[in-house]
Amino acid sequence: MSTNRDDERVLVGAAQAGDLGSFERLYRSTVGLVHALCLRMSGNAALAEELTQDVFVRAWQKLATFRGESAFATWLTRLTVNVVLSERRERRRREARITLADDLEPFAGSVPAARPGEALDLERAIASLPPQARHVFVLHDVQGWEHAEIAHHTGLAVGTCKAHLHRARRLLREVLSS
Amino acid sequence: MNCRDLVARLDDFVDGTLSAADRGAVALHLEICPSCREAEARVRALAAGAAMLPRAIEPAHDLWPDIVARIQGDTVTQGRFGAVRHPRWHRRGALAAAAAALVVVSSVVTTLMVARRDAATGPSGPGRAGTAAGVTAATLELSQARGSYEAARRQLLAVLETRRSSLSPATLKVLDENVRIIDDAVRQMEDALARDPGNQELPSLLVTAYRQEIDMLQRAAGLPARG
Repeated sequence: MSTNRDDERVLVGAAQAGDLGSFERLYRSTVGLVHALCLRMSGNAALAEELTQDVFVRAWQKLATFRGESAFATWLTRLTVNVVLSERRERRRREARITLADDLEPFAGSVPAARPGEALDLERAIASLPPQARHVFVLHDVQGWEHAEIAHHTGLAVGTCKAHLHRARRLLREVLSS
Repeated sequence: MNCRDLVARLDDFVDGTLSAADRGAVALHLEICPSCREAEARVRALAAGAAMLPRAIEPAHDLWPDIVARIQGDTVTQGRFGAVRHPRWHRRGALAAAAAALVVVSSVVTTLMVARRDAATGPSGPGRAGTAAGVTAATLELSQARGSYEAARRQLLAVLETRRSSLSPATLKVLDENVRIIDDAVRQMEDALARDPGNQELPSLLVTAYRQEIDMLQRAAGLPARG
């Protein structure tokens, strides 16, 4: 389902006034975008679904801050990146406190199974990247963000972002050509 | 410029962010170095492949009921990134969470029944009327119950999965068969409700089926191991 900007404005206005039905329509029109980003940035299908839920719960809570200066999907994409990065920071803090010998989550089966050929290979390869390299690669090469915007959201220096992108591309080329 | 210098600049060259002077030097090197040309082609192919990946991937199942339940504050989820995310459940914690979800299901059933009784005995207030988007109080409450049911069901099935080896084959067979029967019934009622959204009876039948399945799973999760 897709909505044009006028419809979107009406739906956002109604949702901001508390109408859950309008928010559901916004959800239906954007959940694929949010889920794709969560899936690629987390590299884990189960986690991606939970993150997608987190994003929409957070979006509902923060809807009053959306002023319509950008498309709703753009606002939601930034929110998604923040939610995914926050979860990652939170999890690292937890794992630093609690060491579990069997706490390694396998990547196997974590990407959509019904995607054809090269795209599926690339999705799998992206999922296997180290987290920061994966985040930067997804935001830069898939989402089309500039390094400065990635740096702003991740808290990394622009040069560090470039280094992660370089590493990600090198690792992907190695994986895809092996 | 040698090959090592080029490798250090290749990403910026492909992304179009190199200075004019560096861009010229890289282009010059590429003209005379086949292996660097190949490396450039591979980086461009990778970037193009990434840019062409689909922007949207739908989740495997509808996440909206769980989202509504969380928005309404009716789920057991407490912290934003709480322990329920981890796939390896601590059995007691998971059972407690599932039991709490069962309480939520029960309270939603009560709310649903009270709302229906009020609707039958008095004029409906404006706050209970359907919204412009067609979301009525009954469908919203059913949606809440469904979200709680699905969360509790997932949790209990995860607990049972860890316990399968400790239960007898006969118990497992009966359990699996009953889960299948209730799931079939739930699916049929949901299909019927989708075809007839105004049906007054199906929501309560559905919620009853939810409760039966959660009740059965909770009992099974608490069964003693075979001796």
